[in-house]
This record gives sequence, C-alpha cells and structure tokens, in this order.
Amino acid sequence: MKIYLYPTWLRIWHWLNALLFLVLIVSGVSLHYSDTGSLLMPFDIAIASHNIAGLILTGSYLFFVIGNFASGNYKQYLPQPRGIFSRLFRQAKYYLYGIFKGDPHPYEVTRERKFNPLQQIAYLKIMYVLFPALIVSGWFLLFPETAPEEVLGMAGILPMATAHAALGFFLSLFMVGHIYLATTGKTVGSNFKAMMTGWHEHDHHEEPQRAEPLPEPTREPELAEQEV
Amino acid sequence: MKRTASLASTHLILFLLLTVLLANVMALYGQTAEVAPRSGNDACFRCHALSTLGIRDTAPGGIRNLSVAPQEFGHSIHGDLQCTHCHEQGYDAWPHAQERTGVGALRCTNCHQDPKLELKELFADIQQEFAKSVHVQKLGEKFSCFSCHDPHSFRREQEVSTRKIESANALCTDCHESGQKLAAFTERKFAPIEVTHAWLPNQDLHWEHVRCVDCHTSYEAPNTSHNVLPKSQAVTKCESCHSQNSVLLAKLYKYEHRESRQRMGFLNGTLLNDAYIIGSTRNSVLDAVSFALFGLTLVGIGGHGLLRWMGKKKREAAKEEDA
Repeated sequence: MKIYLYPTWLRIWHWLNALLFLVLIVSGVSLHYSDTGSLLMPFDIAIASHNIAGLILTGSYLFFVIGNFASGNYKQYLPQPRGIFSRLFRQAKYYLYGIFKGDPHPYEVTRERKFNPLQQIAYLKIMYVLFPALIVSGWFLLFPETAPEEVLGMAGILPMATAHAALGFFLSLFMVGHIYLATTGKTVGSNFKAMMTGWHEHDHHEEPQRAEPLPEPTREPELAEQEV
Repeated sequence: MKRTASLASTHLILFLLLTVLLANVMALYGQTAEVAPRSGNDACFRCHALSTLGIRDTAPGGIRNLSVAPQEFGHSIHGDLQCTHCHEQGYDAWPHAQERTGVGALRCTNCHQDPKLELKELFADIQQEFAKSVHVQKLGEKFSCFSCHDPHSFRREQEVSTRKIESANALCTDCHESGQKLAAFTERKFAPIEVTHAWLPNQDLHWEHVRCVDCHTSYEAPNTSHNVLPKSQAVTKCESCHSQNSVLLAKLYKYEHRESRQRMGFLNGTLLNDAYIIGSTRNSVLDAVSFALFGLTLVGIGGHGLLRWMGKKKREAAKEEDA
C-alpha cells in the first residue's frame, strides 16, 4: 500500500539538511583534526565551508520549524505519555528480535502516525533539543566574543566548543543509524525512494489488539491512500 | 632658525631645572624636622621621578624622556638594583657626562654576560637571534635592546595572560602604529596593521590572545622570539597554530605547557587558560568515547544487518521448501 507521507517542502528540507550535514561532518572533522587536514580538507577551505554550511543549516532549520508548525507536522513528534514505555519496549523488541523473523512492523505507518514510538521520542529530542543546541553553540564559535567571558574558571568559549563537538558527533552518529534504519522498509531502498517521491510504501497488515489506544488523528488526510 | 631652536632648547632646560628646584624646595619645606639622606636610588629619583623630565635630543623625534616612574621601577625585574649598577660613572655632577648617558653607551649585555648570572645563556641566544633580525639587518646600530625594551619597567612574566600579551604587543605597535616613534628609525611608512592583517579572521581575538612575535619571529632554535623575520616569512598558515602540535606551545606557552599538557583530560590543556583554539584544544576523553561509540555503532549495524540477511535467506529457503 502507498500513502503520500512527505510533502515537497519537507523533502526539500530533508535532502538539503542531509547535504549540509555531509559538508559539516567533513569540514568539522578537518577542523577538529586540523593537523591531518590534508586527508580531508585544507584548514582555510574547511573553515569557509563549515561557516557557510552552518549559516545555511540555521536557515534551513528555521524553515523546518516554521514549516512544521504551519503544516501541523509538529504533532507527529509529540508522544502520547500514556503507555509510552510499553510502546517503546514493543518497538525495541521488534528491532532486536522480530525483524530477524520477518515480523511485520508493530506500528504501521499512517498519515497520522508516520513515526514509530522510538522514532517519535528520538526525533523529538534531536530536532527540538540537540539540533538547536548544536546551532546555538556553533553561532557562539562563529562570534566567540559573544560567549561568556568565563565559565568555572575556563574561557567561556570552551564549554561551547566542547558541546559543539560532542553534539556534532552525536548527531553524525544518529545520521549513521538513521540511514541504516531507513533500510528496514518494505525493501532496502523503499524508504529512500519514499523520501524522494513523497509516497511511502509498506505492506498493510492487521494490527494485533493492543492495550493502549492509538494517538488521535491530527488532521484529515488530504490525499487519498492508494492500495497497490 | 637655528638660533630660535637653540633658544627654545635653553628655555626648556631652564624650565625643567626650575621645576626640579621647586620640587626640591617643596620637599624640604615639608620635612623641616628631618631630611632623609639622599642615598641610593632616592638621590636619582629626586629628579628622575618627575614625569616631565626630558631633554632635547639631537636625533629626530624631539625630546628624550628622562623620567623613570619609581613605583614601576620598583616592580620591574631590575627593581632591586641600584641605579648605579648600570649607570656607573659620570653621574655625580649635573649635567651628567654625555659619553655615559648617550644612546648606545649602555648595553644589557654589560651585565647579562656575567657567567654568574642565571640568564647568561638566554642572553647569548637572544643576542644571536637579535643580530639576525630584520630590525638589525636594516637599521644596524640604530636599533638596540632599548628600542623595544625599557629596563626600568621590564618584567619577566612566564605565565601567559592577556596583560602579558597586551604589553608584549605594545612594544611592536609603539613604533608600527605611531609615526612619531617610527620616524626616529626610518622614513618608511607602514600601512595600518588592520589593513596589512585584513586576511586574518577575528583580528581582535587574535591580537588579544597571541603576540605579534608569535607569528613574526623565527621558530628555529634557540627560538627566543628575537629574530624578527621579514613579513614574507611570517606564520600565515592557520593550522600552524590551529593544530594539536600548535607552534604556540614552543613559544608563547613554552613555560606552561610542560606541566599542564594533560590537565583535565585536555590535550594542550595549557592553551585553554584563556583561549579556545580550534584543532589544538580537543578533548582526548571525548574523542576516545566518540571513537568507541562510532565503532560500536558500526559493529551493531553490521551485526544487525547480517542477522536480517540471514533471517531473510532462512525464510526464503523455508518458502521454497513449502512450495
């Protein structure tokens, strides 16, 4: 079955974000290990590309936030508190066991619920806590004179730099996991295709009876679902 | 014209003399009960403590400042010395003997070549570098230790601080930003340093945290920051400083980094004192954790993928069997 899940603005943002992340990772690693710069990027090019990509990333993040609130897409990120642990457990159990047996995804993708419980909680933290923290710490490094003069006896810019490096690394790690988990769709490539066309493809199956209720639909579907 | 200048000079000396006399009279008037003997440095400071004390100099640049701030001198590295340790003879009468007081008559090495002195070797190295420096190469005898360093206020600060950096940079900018002082040495005009350093990002931050000599002097042994290089040979590669083996460790931070390189788990910890330098101050603990997490993620993904593939193959085989 096919449903239209990713509107154009979201797809553009997604791929722009991916491209910027790649540039930022390569240039960021070059700066972090600048004495091995010849392996990746020369220092001055790394600085320039990191700064430019960082600026565009800030703009694209603002675009994402505005787009999310304007379209109501933000509701996808808000988990229902009731029964959250059992839902997380069920999803984790699938990834660690059921997936190898070929069990169906425990939470079928619908227009109202495109994220499984693990994705929901991970994306919420990443997109609304870690990502803005990464951007803010990056801006402090771009304008170091705006950072506090001193924090716990150290130059104030140091905690910013450490946080920026740690967050950058963590989000890069997330990207690796994100790409891998994207291969767990109907076929290895179907989720990648979905993010390009907007149409998500999956096997429809009857969901087993569950103790916890499904989250309320966020809005009426605008596009018809297609049986394939 | 010559006569006017000579008159002005005479007036100036007379004025200074009167000021000194007046100061002496006032001091005596205030201490009628007991007048302290003018022994040691006090006798010199009777006149030389006056901030306006100066003399018309024959060299271009006008007046030669003869004032020494007693408090500043007291706090300087030479503060424990008697004035006469360096200014040996010819100072009993006024005016002092010209051959003793003229520029070039005094040399740091008069004392600092003394084998008993702790700094003997350092000064031998400094002398060797100084002779090679672009200043001496271009200006010759005109340029001496005193062109930059004032022995009456010089302090040896090993700990890196913004104050140390500021005063070190002032030695350069005193001439390179001031036409008047520069004129005593050369007719050359230099463009403002903001213009010549336009390529340098975050100019103010750099000038606050590194000294001019950190980029503009040779890094070859003995590396005492006295071989000022022509501008074409200055350090301009960002990664010379912005790397884990930052050249700054051998110069600006050479006294500190020996002890604190591994402090707080930060490589080059000493640089963290008051500055963050991309590439040179990375956290080794954080790096190790990152590598471990990255490795674990890759192993996890590899293993997971392999199990998925094996499961799929098994299911396909079972399907075929059923068929």
